[in-house]
Amino acid sequence: MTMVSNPQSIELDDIQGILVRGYGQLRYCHFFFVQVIDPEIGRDILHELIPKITPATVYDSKTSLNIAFTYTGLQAMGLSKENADNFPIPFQVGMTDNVRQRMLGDWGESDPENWFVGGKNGDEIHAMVVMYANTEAEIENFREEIRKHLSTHKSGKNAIKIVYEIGGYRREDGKENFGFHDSISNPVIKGSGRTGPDNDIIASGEFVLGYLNEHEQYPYSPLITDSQGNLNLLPPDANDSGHKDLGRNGTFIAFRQIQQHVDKFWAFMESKTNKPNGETDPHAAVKLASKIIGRWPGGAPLVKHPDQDPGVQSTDNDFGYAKEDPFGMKCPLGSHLRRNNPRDSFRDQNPKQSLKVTKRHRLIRRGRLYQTGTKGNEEYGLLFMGLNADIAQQFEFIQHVWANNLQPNKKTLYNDPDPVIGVPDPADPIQQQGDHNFRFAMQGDPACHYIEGLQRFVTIRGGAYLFLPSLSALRYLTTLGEAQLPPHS
Amino acid sequence: MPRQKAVAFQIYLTQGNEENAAAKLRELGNPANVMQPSLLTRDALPTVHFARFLVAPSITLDGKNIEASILYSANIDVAVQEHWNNLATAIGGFLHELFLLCEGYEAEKADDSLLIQFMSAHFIKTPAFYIGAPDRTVDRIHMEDYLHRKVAEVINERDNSENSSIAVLNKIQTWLSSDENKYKNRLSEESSKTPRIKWIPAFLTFLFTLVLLVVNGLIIYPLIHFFYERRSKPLGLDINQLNAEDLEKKMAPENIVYQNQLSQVFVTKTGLRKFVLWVNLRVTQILARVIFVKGKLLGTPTIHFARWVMIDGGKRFVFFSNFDGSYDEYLGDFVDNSGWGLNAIYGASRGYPTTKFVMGGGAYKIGEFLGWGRYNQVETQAWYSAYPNLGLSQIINNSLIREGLYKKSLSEKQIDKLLRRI
Ligand code: HEM
Repeated sequence: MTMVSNPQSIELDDIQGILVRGYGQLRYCHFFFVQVIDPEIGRDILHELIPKITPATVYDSKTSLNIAFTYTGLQAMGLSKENADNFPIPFQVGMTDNVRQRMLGDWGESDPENWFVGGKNGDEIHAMVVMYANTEAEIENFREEIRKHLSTHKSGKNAIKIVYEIGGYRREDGKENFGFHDSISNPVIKGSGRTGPDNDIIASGEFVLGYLNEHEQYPYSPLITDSQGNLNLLPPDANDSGHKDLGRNGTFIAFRQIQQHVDKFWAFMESKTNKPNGETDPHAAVKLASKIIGRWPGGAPLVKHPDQDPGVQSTDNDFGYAKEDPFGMKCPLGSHLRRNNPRDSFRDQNPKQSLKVTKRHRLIRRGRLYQTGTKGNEEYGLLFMGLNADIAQQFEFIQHVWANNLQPNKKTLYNDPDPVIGVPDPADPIQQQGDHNFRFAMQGDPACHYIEGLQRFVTIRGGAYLFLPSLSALRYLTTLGEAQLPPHS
Repeated sequence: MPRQKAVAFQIYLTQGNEENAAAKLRELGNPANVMQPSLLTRDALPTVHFARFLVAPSITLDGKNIEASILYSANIDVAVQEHWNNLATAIGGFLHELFLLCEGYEAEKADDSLLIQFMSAHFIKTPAFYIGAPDRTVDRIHMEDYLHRKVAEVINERDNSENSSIAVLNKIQTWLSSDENKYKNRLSEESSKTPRIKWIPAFLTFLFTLVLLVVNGLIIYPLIHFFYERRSKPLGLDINQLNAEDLEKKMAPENIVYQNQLSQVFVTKTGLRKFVLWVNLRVTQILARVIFVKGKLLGTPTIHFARWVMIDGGKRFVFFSNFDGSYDEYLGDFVDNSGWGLNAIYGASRGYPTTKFVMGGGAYKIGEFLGWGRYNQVETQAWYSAYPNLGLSQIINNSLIREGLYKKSLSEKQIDKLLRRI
């Protein structure tokens, strides 16, 4: 593969920065999950915040602010039910809807009944406010500044309620809590002006509404069919329906708060790699964990370094599987990396067809670590955001079809869901037979090795589907209270 | 080799019984869900791969009423008559109560011979039937699954000295010849052959299809394109434009076990469109027999079966299928691999996305295609699968493992290949 240039063709100045940038240089972040009690005040406050929101054109800001809304949140801002119902169905019904819940596998401990945020029993959330800054002190300042904005209004009313908040960070070495370099592989949006490996440059419409996707069609985008607000702020529907497009330059976010059971993860790796005399074998444990992830802790891909950690920090993402490792002897077919993006080696398809299919199911990941709880009682985890134009075909598809199910690979996998995020099937008697059959298959020469008794190393603690509007759509939302004017011709 | 057969009936309901029949059928539960007890079980019906009962809703079509009916369809290992016998024995009482809601059934109490007669009288043909793993009995599929699990355990117990292909194979062979379990004899009795592409018929089919394509491409498809498609009225709804609650209802029974099912009822377009459907179903049937015998239908490897049946004397037709994974994945996959194949058949249903020269357009408008598919989906009140958690690729792989293990001699390459399957 070659790195190719990717000249800018999408309207970066109208797109919220988080869609295009991971803000790696801004190490700290903070999330507010809020409720809008009064639409008018909500709109006023949004109006004040818009100038602070970072568009995708800005890459060297000291702080960054991004705002996304839920289905109920848009209505709390004054969007009519008719217009809100023009959003895609998964977004309307939300992540905790029974059907979606089952697809994602959120049962047992991960049941939305138990969630800290966005769950079935907690406060409804209307919007997510995501802030980034460079240092701990700076994020604190920025957070408080935004908090003040949210809580003060000239009317004197406190109309925005923060129902949940959590801070996150990026480790200097880029590792997530299990100790693996993360956020290496992300698709590059075509037309975003960023370069990337050939196969990673994906049609803009997979991530930004209003542009052509990998089907060479416009992704389904919410239109305004019930006239309200200042419609001159919105662009027309790319499909020429004559309606205004609220979606263009926006996207959807699947947010997940995912607890990581770090001790359990490493205890498992050790227990499976003990020497015959019962001693632990740290090298073997790390190797097993790396096989499960698909990269070595420093990030080096197993496809290129199957046996030994090259011991370097690596962000190498320039590889496929079809030629290098068709049978999973180097990077197991069931590894987290390979399942969640089978690249050019999907099932037994040829590389070209395989890439055609996998490019229709990519996800932009923006993950940050979190640590909560008191000393001795810490909770570690990942604040995960998956950005995509089509929740059903991307985030849900990946979690359901590729991670929870048996689908993605050449050698058919059996009872082995994704070892990091996959969920054993509650209705499969074999997977439910004690811990005997939830397992990880490590392809090898001369034969496969099964790591039996795989456990779940993560628990879902919260989540929501959100809409990340364009800057013009945000401006439009602030006008929802205005009387209708006839649109300019 | 035993051949998996299709069986189906359609029985009209007496007026006003549409809801009652649906409720009655729901009593059978969702028997594919192993967590739910049901009358339909493998013990009761050991020769049934898949079965479903559903109500085809009544509609008014061009001013005429089509009554609601009960549709039954199953994939079976035995002859049709024997299947009616088995069904009557297994759930005779239930069928009797169900048929009391139907036209033309008069029986005081459940009587097997009357039930059998009644079902036979309403038998309908299946013009096109694709089977993902053909020519295997239910029993064999289960045995081979067991074999795979056992063999996987055996290879997992190998020690460092058993590090060559031959050594691993020997270990498996030793286990096979010493294993005392009940499967051993039954496994060796049942043929381990898997179907092959039959090259001579395949070649003839190919020629025939080629001729057909030329005729279609030069004459029929342009006629349809210019005279029929212009006037057709596509439903034109993206899947996201369906009623969210309706969609929720349709999805509620899905993604519980690994397999899912789909039942759709379509109104058939008329004239040349109907003729093309008739032809294309027959072509599909032939291809399914001679070419698509190794687990893939036009490149899609997750379809346990697909069948198309004309009902109401051809005014409507239905599609029934079992597949692995989700609906979006199934149909998305199909579009990725061969959307033209979908167009060639479903283009004959009213409301289908507009096609271009029959094969183009249509399904390739993915959002609209998924919307059309959900819109025409009907509730499957009772659904049974004999192996709800087995994927088709796994079934095929299991057979190939068994076939390999029972071969007299294997080259080193073949051994490597065999071991990679396990
Ligand atoms: C605590 C939970 C998780 C952990 C610890 C984790 C860890 C990792 C790591 C270490 C990598 C390799 C770094 C890279 O290539 O960027 C990775 C890649 C990836 N993960 Fe996760 N992940 C988690 C959750 C998820 C979830 C929820 C999804 C989606 C549903 C997901 C999808 C992906 C994808 C798509 C890739 C990139 C694969 C590729 O392009 O090669 N991950 N993850």
